[in-house]
Amino acid sequence: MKVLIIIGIVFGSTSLIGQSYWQAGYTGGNIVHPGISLTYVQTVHQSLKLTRSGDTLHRELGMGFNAGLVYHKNYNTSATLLGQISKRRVKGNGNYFAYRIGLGYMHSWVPNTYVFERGVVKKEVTSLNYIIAEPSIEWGWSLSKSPGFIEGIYLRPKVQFSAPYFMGSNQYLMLDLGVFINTKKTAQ
Amino acid sequence: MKYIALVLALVVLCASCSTDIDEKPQFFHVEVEGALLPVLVRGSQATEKIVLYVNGGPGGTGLDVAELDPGNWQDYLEPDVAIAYYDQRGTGNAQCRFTQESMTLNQYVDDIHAILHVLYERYPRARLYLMGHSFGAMLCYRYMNTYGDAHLVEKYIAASGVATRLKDEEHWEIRKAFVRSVANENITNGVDEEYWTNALNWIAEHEEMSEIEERAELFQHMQKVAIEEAAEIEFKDVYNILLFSENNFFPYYLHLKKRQGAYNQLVDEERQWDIKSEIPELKFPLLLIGGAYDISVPPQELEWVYEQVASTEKELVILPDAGHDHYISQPELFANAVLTFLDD
Repeated sequence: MKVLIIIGIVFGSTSLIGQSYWQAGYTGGNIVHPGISLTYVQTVHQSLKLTRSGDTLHRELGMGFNAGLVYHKNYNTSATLLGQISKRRVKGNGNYFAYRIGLGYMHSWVPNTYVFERGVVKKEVTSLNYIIAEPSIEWGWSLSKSPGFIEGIYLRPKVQFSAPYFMGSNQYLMLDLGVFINTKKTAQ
Repeated sequence: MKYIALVLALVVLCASCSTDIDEKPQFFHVEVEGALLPVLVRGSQATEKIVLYVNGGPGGTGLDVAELDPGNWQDYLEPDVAIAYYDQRGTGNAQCRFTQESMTLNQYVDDIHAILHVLYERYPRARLYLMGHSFGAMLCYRYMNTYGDAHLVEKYIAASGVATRLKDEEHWEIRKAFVRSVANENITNGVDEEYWTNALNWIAEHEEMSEIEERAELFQHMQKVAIEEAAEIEFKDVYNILLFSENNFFPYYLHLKKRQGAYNQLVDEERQWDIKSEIPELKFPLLLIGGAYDISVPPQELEWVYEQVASTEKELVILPDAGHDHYISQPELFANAVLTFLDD
């Protein structure tokens, strides 16, 4: 319940005005276990800094959510939903570096499972529930100075902690790769 | 004529497809006592002979053995039998929220029993065999005594399984006999004659082996004949596991340190286990395989087991120029021994 409240607060926060952007792309553990990821970020605070070289640097605090689905033929096929907080440093050319932490829920299915209980074998799809935390870092590259619908591409390595699990939590290293789309322009 | 040829081509195509499906590796999970254990069945399932492989360790992962194939079983064993590999509770890609308390030898044996039940359910016509290496062989011994009467398993293969504890008198007698044997062999062959003559004299002077220093020195003599048997792991193997493996590579390796408590618990129980007293109760068909220079489980230990067991159908094979991981250093001889035993 506490987790749902935290997710609710994070979602509620995204109604604040400012720059917002969407990210859509591939996500997955290893290469052969593919998935899709959709992220929405709403900037809730930003500051502008002029660097010594004369470039502008935007510092942004963002809040939002991420929804993902990862398919694994043999192990866990999982759907995730997380609230996220992120900090982003955007250069004048639109390239950025960000780090973020997400907290949410994962539902996982393990196909082709045989349950052995009191000498009896039953076949079923095992379903598991986890609370997950996802710290990540992210690099974004603007595609051009006058972008079209797709503004740029991003690369986001992340670690996914899921609990409860044997002796605490389980970890997966994952990689997101996709495009980002600005929905509201930053006031220059 | 054209249509007949087309139909024949389709029939041949379908027939080849169905054979292919039979031989395709099968992957599933077995849920037992809170743990989800991944199982991979690979090899010739059409032969209706399935060997459940119990990995050594404790802590080793069966699915990595399948992936890396250090004993080249894909070439030497799997054309003639199917092998079921699995990750033991708390290792590799075994998952879920089972407790540390369930990390016991008895539960490991119960897990084997559950997997065998599932194999029996999936392959009702197949003959099932149990093969363990090192720690896995010890689990085979216990399985035989605990669940052997259920007759799920037709034959057992125990490769280099320890049968005595440090506090057992036989443990040291066996190791002294091993050093005497290799010393005499080396002296006969003119290899390090002075060293091995001194070793023989030292053993003659130390009958009891009760002091730690004495045991350490005996072990040093044994180490003189140790054989390097590490599997050749190439960059492409690591690359394949990291990026293209069916297994989730990272969960296991990121857990090594965190799982230390559970690992220690299992090792402590293994060390306390009075396995020696259970050996004479083994009564089902059993193949014992060892390496001639295995310093962990010397051939004399397997000879002792061979003499002790109640099995009427039993074989002992000692592989030459091999150590504890003889299936890596002598893959062809190992496979021949296994297949001959299963065919008998």
